Parts: sequence; C-alpha cells; structure tokens
Amino acid sequence: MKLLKAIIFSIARAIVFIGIPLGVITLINSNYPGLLDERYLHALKLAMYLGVPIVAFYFLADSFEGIVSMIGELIALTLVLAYTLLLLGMGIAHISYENVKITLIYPTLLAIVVIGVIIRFPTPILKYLAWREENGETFYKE
Amino acid sequence: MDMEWKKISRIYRDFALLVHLGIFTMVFLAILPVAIKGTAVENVGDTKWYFDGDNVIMDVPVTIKNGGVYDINNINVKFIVSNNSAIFVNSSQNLGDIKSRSVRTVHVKIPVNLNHIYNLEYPQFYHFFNYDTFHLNFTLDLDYLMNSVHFNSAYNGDVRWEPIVKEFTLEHPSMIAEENHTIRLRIPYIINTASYLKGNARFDGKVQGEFGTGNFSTEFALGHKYEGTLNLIFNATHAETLLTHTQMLHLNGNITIGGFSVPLKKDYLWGAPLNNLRVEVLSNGTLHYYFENDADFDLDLVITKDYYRNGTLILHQEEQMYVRKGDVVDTYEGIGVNEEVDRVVITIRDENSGFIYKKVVDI
Repeated sequence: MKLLKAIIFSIARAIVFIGIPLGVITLINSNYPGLLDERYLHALKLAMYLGVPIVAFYFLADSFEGIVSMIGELIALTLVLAYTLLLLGMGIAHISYENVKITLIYPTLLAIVVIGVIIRFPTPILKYLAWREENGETFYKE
Repeated sequence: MDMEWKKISRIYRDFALLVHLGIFTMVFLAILPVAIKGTAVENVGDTKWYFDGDNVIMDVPVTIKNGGVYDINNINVKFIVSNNSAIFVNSSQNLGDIKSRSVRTVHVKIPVNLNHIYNLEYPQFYHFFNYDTFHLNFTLDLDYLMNSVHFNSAYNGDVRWEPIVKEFTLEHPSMIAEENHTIRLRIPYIINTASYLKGNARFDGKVQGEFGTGNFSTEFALGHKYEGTLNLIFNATHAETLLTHTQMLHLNGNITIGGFSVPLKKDYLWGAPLNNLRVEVLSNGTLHYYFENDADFDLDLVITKDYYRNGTLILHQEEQMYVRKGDVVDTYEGIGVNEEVDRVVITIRDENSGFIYKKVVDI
C-alpha cells in the first residue's frame, strides 16, 4: 500500500516537475521560435535534469520511514529549491519576440516563492521526530 | 520530555500548506488574467499629429484593460527618435497607474521639438522640407503584482517623418499687370504643409532678377494642399526688362510658421511676353518689329504707331494682333506717309493682361 502510494505520488510529481514545464516550453518554442533566449532555455534544460532526481528522492522519502525518509525529502526539497531558482531565471527573464524585447525582473516574487519552498524544510524533520515519538524513541536520551 | 511531535508536525504541515496555497493563489491570480487576455493591450489607435507651438506631437492612444486583481503601477515610457546623424527626441513620460478591473486609454505622446531641429539643422533645415525615416527606440516600464514584478519592454522600429513643408512649387501660367506705379508678376503656387499644422502662415521675401530686386508676400492656410497666387512686385521702372527679357528670377524668402522663420529659396524662369523686342525703321523706310512671346499666356495686342515730324503728329495708326504663347512676331511694314518723319512712337497694349509698353524710335 505504501509503495503504491509512493508510485502514484511519483507519477504526479513527474507530471508537475517535468511533464508540464517541458510541454509548455515545447509549445512556446514551436509556436514562437526565438521568444525565449538561449540562456533561459539552457537553465530550463538544467531544471529538467533536476526534475528526475527530485522525483526519485521524493519516491525514496515516500517509500521509507524514519531517517531515510527525512534525508530523502530534505535532498528532494534542496533540489526543488535549485529547480525553482533555475526555472524562475534567478529573478530575471528575457523574452524576445519580433521587434520587442521584454525583460521581467521579479526578485521579490522569487523570494516569496523561495520562502514557500524553504518553509517546507522543517516538515520532514518534524515528521521524523513524530515518527520517533510514535515508535517509542525520544530525541534526548533520558 | 513529551513534545507531542506528531501534533506539532501536523500543525506545521497545515501551516506550510496554507502558506503554499497563499503563494500559489497570489501567483495564479497574477498570471491568469494575462493568460486569458483579461489583462492586455486592447487597442492601439491611429497616431494623431498636432503642433502645440513648440513641439510636433505624435499622440498614440493605447487602450489597456486590466482585468486582474492587481494594479498596474508606474507606467513609464521612454522614446529616442534618431537617424544616422542626430538624435531628435529623447524624452520620457509617466503614464500613471491602471487600477485593477479597469480599462484606461493612455496617450503616449512623442514630442518632436521643432526648436531643437531648427537649431540642429540651421541653416539647411532639412527636416522642415524633406521626408525621412527615423529610428524609434521605445521602452515601456511598469510594475505589477504589488510592485514585486518589474516589466520592461523595448521596441525598435521606424517612424516616417512628415516634413512641415511637403511641397512648394511655382506654377504656370503667370501673368503680368501694372498697378499703382508698380509692375506685378502673378505666379500661381502650390504649397502642401503637414497635416498636423493648423492656421495660417506667411511666405515673404525678395525676388532678384537680372535688373534689380522686387518683393513678395503671401499668406496661406496650413495643414493641407493650398493653391494661391504669388504677387512679385517691382518698381514700374523695371517694366521694360520684365516685358522684353526672359530671365531667371531668384526668390529668396522666409516661411513663418508658429514663430519659426524658415528660409526658402526658389528659382522661377520668367517668360517675357515681348522677349527680345526690336523696333527699327530701316533705311528703305520700312518699319520692322520683332519679338517672341515667351509668356504663358496669349497676347491680344493693340499696337498704335504715331509718326512725328518736328514734334507734330502726322499719322496715327492702330492695329490689333493676336499672338499665341510661343509665337514669334517678325513684321515688316511700310510707313504709310508721303512726307518724311523723324520720330515713331510705338505703343503696345495687351488687352488680356493690361500691360502697356511704349517704344520711341528716333530716325
């Protein structure tokens, strides 16, 4: 049952982290060639490469319990952080279409989204502590 | 120490979920109106040109709909209009904000300072008389999503410059007339001025012929193609040379539009109606006269010949002659008196234009 749940979550995460961004980028590039500049496309490619280990580490976290689950989720969250920074172009995006060059600068928005990811970091730790508590182990030795 | 980590973990997980939902909602509400075109440039209207006394304004109305939940703030536009040799416009404009769930038409005004162009191009004033293609660098800046997203877009394109005086031509046919001790050449002209101009303007100055100078002055309506008549006014003493000598006239004037005085030079080939006129009494007693009608109009001449002896009029003759433009008159005729004459006064009057030319030939 736990494995089945992990597989379903992995498929959902693969769609979110790899499928949707890849689909959108492919669609934009085929309909509007040259809209996204090379640097941004390169960063997106890197983000896609990060998508696979993110799904893998989340799968690990979902499949196991205890310390393995915590470490797996923490690594996955770190990768999600890097993925977010790359996908959002480190707070700046350049778009060029026909004669118009567009620059979007959004460090504040990036910071809010990054905070949204960072806020998740205590979750696996707290989950691990709850697991320890549930299994009769305490964090401090008596 | 019983920390109840399970409870804390659950509370924190719910808190994180709420934060995520908040961020997701904020970003989603920002992107959704753009994606479904709820926030978009609805219409870019036709560029209106007008002149405010100092600047030629290119006014581009842009209608923007902001269907989102966030205001669009600090809309700034900047434009640089240049060609290969100079920068004509370098200015910016703050267009304010567009509140959420509203539609607003902002007027992007590109001012071309004529004084700047005047000083820049003195004394040729190229762009007052000639079309050109300017390079436009247009930059739009705005803030969105509670100023957390700064949007900058740059557009490079071309703008067609419409000169102030698009066309000025001196036409045909011209006429000649005598009025109040002056001789006037009436020359039709066409002046086509830029559509953004309104009101009237003046064109005045001096005209230089081979004999001396005259002057001219005319007023014309701005903003369209205007057809009028230019009166070149000379002292009556210049009548003979204007009537008998085809020549180039050099107009050297100034067009005064909205406080700007722009020099305009034009040459005009004046065709004399009695060009190369020769009147002589030959030794065999024959009267010979010759001229070419170089004018733009036909001549309906009344030629009177008065023959004198010792100051006494002996014979008065009058004849009519119709001379088409471009025709040459080369006439020999016998003097119709038996006694000798010592003076012939020939007066040529044109019924069409009204000019009178008198020639005294002493024998």
